[in-house]
Amino acid sequence: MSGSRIGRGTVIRGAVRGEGDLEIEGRVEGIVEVEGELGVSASGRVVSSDGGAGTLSARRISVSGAVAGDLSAQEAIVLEEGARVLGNLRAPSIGIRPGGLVKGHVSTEGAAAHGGRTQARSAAVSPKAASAPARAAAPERAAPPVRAAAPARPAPPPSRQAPRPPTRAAARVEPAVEQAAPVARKGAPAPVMPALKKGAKGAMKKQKGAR
Amino acid sequence: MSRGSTMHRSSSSDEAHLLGRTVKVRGRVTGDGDLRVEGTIEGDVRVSGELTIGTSGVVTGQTNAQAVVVEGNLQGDVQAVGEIAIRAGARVEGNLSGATVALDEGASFDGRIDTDFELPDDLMSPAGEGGARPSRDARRGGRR
Amino acid sequence: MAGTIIGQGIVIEGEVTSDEAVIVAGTVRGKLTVDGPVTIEASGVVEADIGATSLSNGGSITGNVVVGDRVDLLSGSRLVGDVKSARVTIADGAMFKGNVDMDS
Repeated sequence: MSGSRIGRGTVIRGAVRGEGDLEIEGRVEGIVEVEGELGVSASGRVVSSDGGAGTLSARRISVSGAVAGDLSAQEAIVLEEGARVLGNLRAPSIGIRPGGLVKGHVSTEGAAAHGGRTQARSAAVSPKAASAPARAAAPERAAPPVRAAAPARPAPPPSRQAPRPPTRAAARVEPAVEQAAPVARKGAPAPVMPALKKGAKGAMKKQKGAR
Repeated sequence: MSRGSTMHRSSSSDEAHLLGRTVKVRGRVTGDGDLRVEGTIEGDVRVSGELTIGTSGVVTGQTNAQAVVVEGNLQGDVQAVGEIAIRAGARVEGNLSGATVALDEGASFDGRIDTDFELPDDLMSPAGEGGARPSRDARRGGRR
Repeated sequence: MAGTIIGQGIVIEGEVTSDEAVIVAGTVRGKLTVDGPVTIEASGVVEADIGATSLSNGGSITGNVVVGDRVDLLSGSRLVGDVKSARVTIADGAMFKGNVDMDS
């Protein structure tokens, strides 16, 4: 049996990894990495925006539900009608069907996220990428911000611990994003931390984690 | 040829314009109605109707329209009131902001997509579960 | 068929909670809390405390088990941990190390 399913009534906090296919109809707070096909059904909810290298990854990913987190696929990502994704997409082939919604950076180039050039590129882009989830989360609700996904990561390195009050993430708003955007697009190196406010820290960590 | 001519727009835009294959524009293009670009534009484009960048079209600049369809090459940010569609075979580098964005598989795209939407209420804190737990709990659970 | 299937080759590290049937043919490390029946297949490995309405173990469990109705430890299965359940069956060929508490 290689097909796995997280049913509607099931909540997983932590990391889901492995071979084979996985269909998520329920809720996952954490990382999902499978070698086969990953499906997030209309009822599926995945929250995994704690940064790190690819919070949802699979050979192919198809989303009809809601995801807060980055998606990367070796082959293809498809956002079906009704999909709502707050995060970045990376795959050689990306399809967004009418009615599929996304907020984040989308890149069809170099899905092998470790290629030299693409690596540099994504690094330059990550400040805005990192602040993307927080940005939309803020208007949603103030209380449980995106950082809430953090708990799901098992055994995070201690450096990650630097406790920040959850509300800070929620309070982080557009200006940071807008400023970061033009810089990043010119391919200039990411500015040093002080220039970037809160978003930068996460972005830096993100880069580290990606290596 | 001009697909725009079959489109119906509300305002003063029964006009459809075609910028042909051999046409090269350096500078700003603005207009009412629809515009189909099969040539080359280096500069910003702003039309009140639908902007179509055809398979042979090449646009380098910011674009702003009611709706935008890209079949060719576009380098620059796109702002649309309505839909933005990137067709298979298109190459787009830039940030897209519109009511909806459709991206065909087989298109090459690099940039940010910003559509306006609300995440479902139960995404960040599940209904009937008392919200996301404090970090420590789940972490400990993860290690056990 | 509804429910959750954690297939062979899938590893979950963390906390699983559910209010429907859960079948584990893969690996779960952390915690497994189910308001419904839990089935551990022969290939299943659970290193977690388990709470469920019933438990059928054909695989390997390391952890304490608290079950409302019944626990069946099948032949070839392995359980290291304490069991609290109204009814417990241990098949011939099941390996079990721990205490049983059938008070309810």
